Amino acid sequence: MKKLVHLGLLFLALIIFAPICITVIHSFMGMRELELNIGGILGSSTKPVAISFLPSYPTFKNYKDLLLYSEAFYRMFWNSLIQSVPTVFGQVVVAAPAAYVMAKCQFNGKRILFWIYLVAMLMPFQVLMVSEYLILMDLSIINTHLSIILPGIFGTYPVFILTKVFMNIPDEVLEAARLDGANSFTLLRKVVLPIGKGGIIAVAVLDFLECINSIEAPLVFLKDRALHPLSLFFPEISLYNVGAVFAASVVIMIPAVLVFLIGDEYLEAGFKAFKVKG
Amino acid sequence: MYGGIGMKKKSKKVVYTLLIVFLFAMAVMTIVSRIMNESHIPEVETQTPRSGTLVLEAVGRGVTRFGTLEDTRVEETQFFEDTYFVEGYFFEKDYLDNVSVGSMVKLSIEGESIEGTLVAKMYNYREDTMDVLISLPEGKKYAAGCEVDFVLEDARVKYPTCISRELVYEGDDGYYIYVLKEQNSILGNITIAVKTPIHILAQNERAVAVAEELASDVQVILKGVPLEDGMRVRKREW
Repeated sequence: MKKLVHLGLLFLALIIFAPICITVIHSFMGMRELELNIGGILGSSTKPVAISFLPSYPTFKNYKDLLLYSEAFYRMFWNSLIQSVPTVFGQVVVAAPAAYVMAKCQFNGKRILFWIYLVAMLMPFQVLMVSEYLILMDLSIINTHLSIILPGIFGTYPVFILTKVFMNIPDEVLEAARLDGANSFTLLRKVVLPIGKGGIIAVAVLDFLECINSIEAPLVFLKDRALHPLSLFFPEISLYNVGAVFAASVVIMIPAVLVFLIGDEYLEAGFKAFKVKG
Repeated sequence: MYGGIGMKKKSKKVVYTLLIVFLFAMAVMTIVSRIMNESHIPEVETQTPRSGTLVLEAVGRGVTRFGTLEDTRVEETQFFEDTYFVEGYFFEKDYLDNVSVGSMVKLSIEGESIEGTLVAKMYNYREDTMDVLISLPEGKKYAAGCEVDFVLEDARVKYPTCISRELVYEGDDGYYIYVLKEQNSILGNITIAVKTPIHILAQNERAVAVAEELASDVQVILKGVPLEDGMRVRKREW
């Protein structure tokens, strides 16, 4: 029975892994082979799509084209970092005190405020898009990196997660610190943040992955293609660039995987903390 | 310490190192790609197609005749009795559209080259040819009924799409050109050479008339740089 379950899980894992596998394999195929395999999707042939799991004539041409001759790829990569890193940093700076207040301070309307946060978190981007656009336009930061960074910093999702994380910190610990003369700021800095470090890093990792994969906001708020992040790299996939697109997908995977590997244990910690009272 | 996927501290250090190396490599490659972009992408010259008139050789065939020739060049048709002329037709009727009577025609009669004058042309609906009468030089006798090949060297034909011969390649599948195409892709706003098959309607030693309707802003790449379909190129800015 256990073996059967394992086999089933292995099968599911293979299904999940298949797109990554296809991306990597296709990144080593030449244009003609790609045309034979997926030309049907790109409209360059009428043949049905054939997914092959090994390139007949492996080539590094796609990587050469991408890594040596594509200034735009690098520009978009640095744009991604310029937009993601300050967003993540800002989110942590803003969300940690807000979450601390939500988790450990008592005041009237706290529950309602938390619900407002929850509702705002559940709102899809499309709902807030127009109002956000108008505000950013009024601030004259539309079509700048700030139009991505600022709305990102004030996201509700990190506050929600960190509130759940900070709720797990025993009140006795905070009480003891208060007795030792710590004020709210010292409590946050010296007690809450070190204890909730796991959750904060988990939030940072998740936010980074979300920021780097974000499509809607850059698409709506950034008109200038020179400001586009890597997530918007395929405005028109054609047979001539599909190889480079596959290669780019593989290269983009690298930082995401590395960041995940750095923060994986904290991610689990964050989820555990979230689970206890969530 | 929490579980995660069970990475040891040493492995963590490796991951941190890899991330730093990756970022450093990206920084270096940003500069390298800028340099490579400038130096390794072939620079090409382009031309745009346009409508134009091609000077072509209209080829025809006919037979010699002896009798009365009607000369339609003058307002009142003149008749020349007891004269030698050629009655024939041009294969490409369109070539004669802009040719006026009185033009010189080179004829080959029994291996001898002579020059004649086009004195009449008329479209033959039945055969879909341009029938012509060509007067022969006086003072010489020809056997009536001799087969004659003739060429009119300055037939001017207007075509909607003409391109220079320097742009046309000939392959196993026929003729083709390389067209410059701008593309927004992961590689940025790049220009590539796209192989485009064409069908030639007419050609002379300088230009080619093509059947395809190419827009006037299409940039056709001049021969000189070895090209492949989809190859990145840079347009030469003068």
